[in-house]
Amino acid sequence: MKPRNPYLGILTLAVAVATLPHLFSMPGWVSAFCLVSWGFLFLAPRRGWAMPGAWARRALAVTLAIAVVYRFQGLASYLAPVSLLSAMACLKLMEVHNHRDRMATVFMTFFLAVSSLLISKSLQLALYMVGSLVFTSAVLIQINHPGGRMKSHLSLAARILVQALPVALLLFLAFPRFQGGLWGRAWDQRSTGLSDTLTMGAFSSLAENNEPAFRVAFDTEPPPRRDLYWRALTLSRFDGKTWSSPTVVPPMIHPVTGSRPVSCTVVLEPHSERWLMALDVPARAPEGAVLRSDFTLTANRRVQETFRYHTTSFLAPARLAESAGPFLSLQLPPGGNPRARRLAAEWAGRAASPAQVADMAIAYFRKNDFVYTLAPGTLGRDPVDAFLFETRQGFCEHFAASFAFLMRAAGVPCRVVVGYQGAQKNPFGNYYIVRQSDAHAWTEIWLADRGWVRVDPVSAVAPARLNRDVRDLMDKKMFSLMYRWLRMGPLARPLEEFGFAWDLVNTRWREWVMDYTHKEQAGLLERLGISAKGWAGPAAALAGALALGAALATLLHFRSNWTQRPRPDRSRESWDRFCARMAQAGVARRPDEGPADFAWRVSQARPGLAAPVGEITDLYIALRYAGKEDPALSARFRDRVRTFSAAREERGGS
Amino acid sequence: METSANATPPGTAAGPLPRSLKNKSTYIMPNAFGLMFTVLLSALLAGSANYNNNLGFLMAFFLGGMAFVSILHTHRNLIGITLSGVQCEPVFAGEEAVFEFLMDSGGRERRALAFKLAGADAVVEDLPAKGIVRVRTRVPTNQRGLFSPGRLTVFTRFPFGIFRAWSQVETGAECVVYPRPLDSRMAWAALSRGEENGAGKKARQAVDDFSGLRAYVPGDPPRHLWWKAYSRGLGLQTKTFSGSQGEPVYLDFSALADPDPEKRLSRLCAMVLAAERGTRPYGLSLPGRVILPSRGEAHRRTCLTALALFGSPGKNA
Repeated sequence: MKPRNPYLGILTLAVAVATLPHLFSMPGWVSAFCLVSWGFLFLAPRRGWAMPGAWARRALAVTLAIAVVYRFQGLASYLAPVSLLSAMACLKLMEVHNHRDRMATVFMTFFLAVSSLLISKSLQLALYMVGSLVFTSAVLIQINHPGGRMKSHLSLAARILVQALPVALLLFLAFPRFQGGLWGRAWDQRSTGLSDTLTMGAFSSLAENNEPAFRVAFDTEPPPRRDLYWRALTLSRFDGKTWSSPTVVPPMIHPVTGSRPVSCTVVLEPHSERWLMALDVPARAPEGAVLRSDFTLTANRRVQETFRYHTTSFLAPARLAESAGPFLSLQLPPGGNPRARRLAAEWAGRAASPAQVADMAIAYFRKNDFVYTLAPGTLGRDPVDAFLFETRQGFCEHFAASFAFLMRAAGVPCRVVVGYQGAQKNPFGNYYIVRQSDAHAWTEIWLADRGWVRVDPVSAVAPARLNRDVRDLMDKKMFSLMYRWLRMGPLARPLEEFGFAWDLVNTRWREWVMDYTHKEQAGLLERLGISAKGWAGPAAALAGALALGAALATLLHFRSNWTQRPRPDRSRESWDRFCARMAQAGVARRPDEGPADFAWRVSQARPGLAAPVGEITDLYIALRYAGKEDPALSARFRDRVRTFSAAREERGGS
Repeated sequence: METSANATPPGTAAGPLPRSLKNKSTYIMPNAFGLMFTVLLSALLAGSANYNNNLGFLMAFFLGGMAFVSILHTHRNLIGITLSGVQCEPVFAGEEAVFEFLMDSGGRERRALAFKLAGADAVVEDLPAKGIVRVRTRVPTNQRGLFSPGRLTVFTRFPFGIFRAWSQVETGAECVVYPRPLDSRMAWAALSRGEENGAGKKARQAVDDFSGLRAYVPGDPPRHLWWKAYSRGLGLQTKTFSGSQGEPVYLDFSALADPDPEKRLSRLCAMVLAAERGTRPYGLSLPGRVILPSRGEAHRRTCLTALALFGSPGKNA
């Protein structure tokens, strides 16, 4: 039987800690493989199970690699390399035999731990990664210090990390950053948030998603909540079932004018799409984006990193015209939803103007006990009919899509707008958070004299929606148990407060640390009087940072060791001084000679010194071997040594 | 006291014991794992630079900074250790010489220090902050004489195993290596013949004639100690036997027939061991040196040392 591998347990634990952040985003079968492997590696030494043989491991490795590449159609998604790395780390653990294997596994674990940065750049993940690095370092110490205690290794690893902070931070500031990447492009991140299509009856999954979509800091007076319509996309194409954006929306050519200007800075979370949010309606495009003729903003490239931009909007715009005209917004495929079409035709017959048709529709929603709910049930083949005449339960998408259908059927140009509505002020910081759960859909109708006019059918049914959180309006039973407990239970309030405080810290972290780029670095160097152009300045800055960091780390290291140094042994120092004087006088104490033997030898060799040496030696022996340090005795001893002089004693004695 | 006559090579802690490992004589270099770690760091840095990922930069610099600080830890784990003594018991050629180095940590806890003598396996030990640790290293021997193991290499890879710091210290350690005992009936027969001429057989028969007690002298065989008295707190006393005072026998180098002097020494060695197991006093006669007959551990040691150092000038002490 093979001897038990004493490091397998902690190595497995280190790999598990490093992989944990990926566990929820990797494909289920990869996560399952990892979990089963860890369990096996944990139990195998205790149960005496044999590790899989070399061929079994090779076969597993090849199978897993092929499966991952097949699942992700190559390595384009960041999850593909991460899945491969996690699975291979498990297989590597099964063949750990010697020091070399252990070191290789630890290095692999470092890499795995750092790969979590592909998930997000939040502070909590960064802190977790640092914890993972410290734990893996402690395991590294353990395999280099057989028989040591893991607890002391953890504290040593933490101390080394603290001592490394100056080097790390200075290098972080000084290491040259480049504009744009060096080569290749970033892996596709997962995409969250709004959908660019709207289908009635499709499940809406954003209501429980509490993640921030973007954060806003207003330069001007923040508008009231009911005016906070964040426009993202217009959906003017309708195929009878699904609303979607037209393929091409030309750029805006007219200047947008109006009153009640509001300007704000938006910090958008990466969503892997190109649309940007702006308060309805944006006046002009920020840098790096285009204002389209439907008053939406489109970024020049997909938003893969946190994107910060400044917008100015008019809450009360002047007549909104668009070059293409509203004709596209009348298109309606024939067939389907006959009752809704009849109702719309009846309104069109009675109304004197398109605005009156819209008023009739709103009045219809208000009068017929429509309910705003997240669980509208199924709607069947004619969803608009089913919603308008039967279930009368739905959320914003149902209202918006049905309203738009009615308007078009009545000959009023209308389109659906999706975006967010509302914002929560962070009480700890001067900014607002707009969450995914604030996602909203509303409509715009075209009136010849006023241009595009916003109509929000939900305001007719649930006017409170615009002033309060969507969650407050809904039947609590619609949410999952966990969600209800977190958001509505007794801990909801402190949790929310903590959430806001943490959001503030996290926002600052993004702003100051994660968004430190070429531009900020150049600014910092300029302030230090170093030109950021060419290579000499940045190189000098890097060298300076290295030197300064090294010096600081060394200082920190020796300082922490000074404080740990035991207090000097003053009795011993005095004794050594005495021995040195005796050596000068011609009688050197041999290293292996105890005090008593030495005194005896001195008394034989130099009878004149017998008395003072005997006294000093007796004092030293009393101090050393009596068991406790007596301060008075120690003082007397040191005093006696100070006044001792071999020549004088001998002269005095003879 | 031993003073090394030959010049000490540079970079070696020298001088009389105790000797400390000093800054000047301590070296530190990354090992193969250090290079692997550098590759890991470069990969992290390249990835971070490519994707402009500040979190990646931060983690790479944390790891790099920790590796840098670990150099200081590795170095400080080594310097200031003191070699405060060496002990070594004589061995027979072919056995392993066991050197005991008394290492003093100098007031700091030391972890995973490796001690290595040329030709021996490294011994890994921790040193506590206080007290002295005996580090035992075993070196195989194959020749009689005074065996000097050379310098002691102390090295450490603690804490991360990516840097190796090392220092060498001149220990002045020497081990007396007795000749390899070469037992042969012929040599033993020669000895027996000598006994037959005298009263050998009679003496051997009279082994157990108890004649009295005397105070213990170091070197008395343990089986002659009166343990019962010792357990009663009467001090150590040695039983004497009239039979021990038999006719002395001389083990004579020139009386052996082997042409090879080393073989003769080996046979003499075996004879000393046999004689010590017997009861009669024995003496040793070597060209240029005669050891008068006696018995006991100290005498045996004197004889074996004389055999070990035979022919090496100035070391016949």
